[in-house]
Amino acid sequence: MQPLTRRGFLAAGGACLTLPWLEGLSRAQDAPVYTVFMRQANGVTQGDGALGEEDRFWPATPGPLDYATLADQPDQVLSELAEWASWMIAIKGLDYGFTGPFCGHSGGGNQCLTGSRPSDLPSVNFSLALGESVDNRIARYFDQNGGEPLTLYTGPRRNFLEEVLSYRGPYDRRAAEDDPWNAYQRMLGPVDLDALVLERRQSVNDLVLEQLNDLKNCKRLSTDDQRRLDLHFQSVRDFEVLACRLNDDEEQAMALLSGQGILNDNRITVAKMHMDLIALSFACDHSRAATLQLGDGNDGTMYTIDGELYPNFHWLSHRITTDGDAGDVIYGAEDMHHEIDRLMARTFIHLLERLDEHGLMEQSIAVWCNDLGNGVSHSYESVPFILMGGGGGKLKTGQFLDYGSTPHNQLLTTIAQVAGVTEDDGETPLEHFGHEDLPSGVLDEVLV
Amino acid sequence: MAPGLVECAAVTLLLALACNSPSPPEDDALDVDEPRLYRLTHAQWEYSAQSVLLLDQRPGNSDGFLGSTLSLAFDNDTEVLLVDAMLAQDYQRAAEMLAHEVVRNEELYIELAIGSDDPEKWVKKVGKRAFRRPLRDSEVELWVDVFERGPELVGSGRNQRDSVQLVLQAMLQSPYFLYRVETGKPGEPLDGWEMAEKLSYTLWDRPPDAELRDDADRLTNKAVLREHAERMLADDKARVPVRRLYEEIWRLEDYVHIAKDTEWDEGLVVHTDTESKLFMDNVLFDEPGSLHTLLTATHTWANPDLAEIYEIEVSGDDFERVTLDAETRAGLLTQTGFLSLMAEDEQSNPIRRGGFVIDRLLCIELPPPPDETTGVGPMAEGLSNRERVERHTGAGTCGEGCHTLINPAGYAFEHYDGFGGWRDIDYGVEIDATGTFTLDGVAVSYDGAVEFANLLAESRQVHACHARQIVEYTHAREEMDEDETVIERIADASLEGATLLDLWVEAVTAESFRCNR
Repeated sequence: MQPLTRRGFLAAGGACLTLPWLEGLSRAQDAPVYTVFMRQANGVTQGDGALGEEDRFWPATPGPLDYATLADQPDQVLSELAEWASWMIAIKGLDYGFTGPFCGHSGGGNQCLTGSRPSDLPSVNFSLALGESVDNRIARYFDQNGGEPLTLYTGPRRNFLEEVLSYRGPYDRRAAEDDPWNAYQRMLGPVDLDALVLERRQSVNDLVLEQLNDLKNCKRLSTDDQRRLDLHFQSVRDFEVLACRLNDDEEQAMALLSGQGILNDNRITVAKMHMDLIALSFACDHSRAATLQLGDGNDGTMYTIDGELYPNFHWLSHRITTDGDAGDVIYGAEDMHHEIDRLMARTFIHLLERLDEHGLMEQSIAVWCNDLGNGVSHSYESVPFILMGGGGGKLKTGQFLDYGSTPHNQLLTTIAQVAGVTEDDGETPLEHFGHEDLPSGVLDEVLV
Repeated sequence: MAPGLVECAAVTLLLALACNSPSPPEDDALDVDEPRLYRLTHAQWEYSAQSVLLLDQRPGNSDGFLGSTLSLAFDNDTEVLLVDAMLAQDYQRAAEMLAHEVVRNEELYIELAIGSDDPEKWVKKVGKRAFRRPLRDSEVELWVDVFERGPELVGSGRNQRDSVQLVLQAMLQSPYFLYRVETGKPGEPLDGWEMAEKLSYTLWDRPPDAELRDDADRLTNKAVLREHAERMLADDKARVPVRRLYEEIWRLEDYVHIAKDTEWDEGLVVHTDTESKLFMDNVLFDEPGSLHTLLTATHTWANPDLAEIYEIEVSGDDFERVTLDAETRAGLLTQTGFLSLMAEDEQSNPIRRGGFVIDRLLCIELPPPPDETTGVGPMAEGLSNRERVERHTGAGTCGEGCHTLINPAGYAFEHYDGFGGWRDIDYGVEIDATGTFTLDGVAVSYDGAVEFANLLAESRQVHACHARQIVEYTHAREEMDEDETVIERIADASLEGATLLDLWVEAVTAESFRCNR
């Protein structure tokens, strides 16, 4: 499918010509790279020292990976991905940098794509990241879809923790869409009502911007009010329209599920629909970066595997019947956690298959990430990152790396570089991503 | 000063700049702390769009609108009600579609277009509906311009209709439609129009009705404001918005997600939600009660499934009002929804139940549970749930710090199993639901949830917590230091037995609600 350039006109009036989101306008890229992150919660069964559990996730030894290497270790989660071994870089030994007065899941989720420090205030489950996330940075850099990454979610609402991944900047969390149908409708853009719809929209946008400006100039607004108006101001524009569509059956299924997405039993189905959208959006160069969060912040989904309804995943990851620290022991909890890890791997495959169908594996970086290393100890050590795809030929695929104990922000820098993000000069590859106290530079072994 | 007039606190900041003036000089001292910009919630957007377009019912477009992230206060907290690119797009699409559709519905169009032969008069009329205030002169000029560009920018050949369409499309995206803005000087009351829409959106989710609009210039008078607040709270339109606070506090949205690995599951999931809503409506509106009623009433609603849990008889298949045994039941804390949500499949969960009381009834912030978690040990005959929990988290254990606070509150509910059914024996051990807990700085002892609920209902701390919740919800923001006075006053009234609706009246007539800060 041919990516189309559909940039129409700029809706903004003179006042906003200095806004940062416009900075990507002149950037062209010969072979776009598409980046997507799928977040699983609650760590993986890679062996929690405290409980004497063993590693049931990784291959036995670092080194090259192929189908046989993974398939020959069927007890390990990553064997589920054996068919995709040639596209894989499995990375062990990356740590999140910060602990603090936030809950493990919010802190991990906030650091996962930002490499920044989570806030002390607000604290606990309300903590926020103090930096931009890499999906936002990539999207902003290339300005596809108005510089907006796709921010998708499947989980319940009004819970302890909801979306945790994507940030426009410090304290500025992006709301995620939980309904694939809504996301799809938005991508398709407004209905073409008549011949003059675009011209009319531009005029209305100009008017809205003028009024927003008028409001902003009212200095009696609080700093937060100003910030909210700034965001609104930057958000009023003409939106690029997705030029390709799902097939009729897919559209119908998605429409039927609309409004039901937050229900427990629909978690994986909705996740797969979101993945269909991500692949479609990449295929038509509508967006360059996406996140998909599976489950709420500390995923409490009751997954069904082989017809069996499992207990609350968060409880399973604690191995006890509670979201807190004291509850009844769940016998077989580790086995069930392991099966959920496998389910996550198989769900990830759905994304890979869709990218592959669109011929995008070579151009993509699909990342399966996590908010924790281990569920029981809520550890930020050795948080698993599974990369898939060629990254435009820049990634050295088919290998398992163990970094021992290395700050994960260097992986984010690496991914941003591979995606094509540069320093302000437009030439030097991005040298640092994440908190200033964390090291600069990339993970060389990941690159060709 | 006439009684009920103004009464805003004196402030040191004196601002001379009008909000429509061209870029005033940068001056940090002009910053205000309190938010003055409140985006419509999606529920409010629905009624507002309905009002602008003169529809018989809400248009429903907001079903597809982007939601917001979790708030530190309640869902209507202005802090999280942002317009980002996705929502801007949603607003845009809805405005384009609706404006296009309404002018092509002949019957509706005729009504909408009344008076449009005189564009100036017409934009004033529609603008007043959209922005909930009269248009300023400069705005009238602007909107007449928009009106006149209709034929060019819609181009259907029906000029007047095109003008109406364009104005509606633009107004529905205007920040003055999407936000409620407070623009006055600190220390002065909100103007009448600002007051009217603030009151109306708070109590009804709707733009002001004719009675409020007619009284707009008198709403700076507290007595007039109070009359309207009382009138509006007595109206059915207040039911959903007011009950929503209690649904959020008591986590009713979670009741529908209760899943238990037992045969009772499906029925219970639906019914606990209905029971609590019927009870809340009763105490809030039908037989106005106080916080005390909410926490101690023995009446509730039950259908055959819940009657089974309560061990009572009901006459039919539907929900009916029932009176429970005053020895075993007292208010929401002993109803099936709370007890079954805060539980395991069949077993109680004193930590969750106690944690709820601490968090939602006492407004005490707890630190997160430690990251290292372990089980409390297996169920065993001869060892009650309470004893198992105590061994793991009680005095002398690593959980001692928080759990000496949480556990005693939770143990009060040990007579109720995972569904809320009464029990005297747990794993062969007689239930021990006694405890000692510090309320208002004094250690109080109780045996069971009825005694505990009654103590809570008499505790100033509990009333102060609820006062804070009402203030945060009605003010659509987090608590601020300046709210202390109104919180204290509402807490006092509540403790003395004022109805919940009276507390709401206090909140929306308070200085913090009426005045610019």
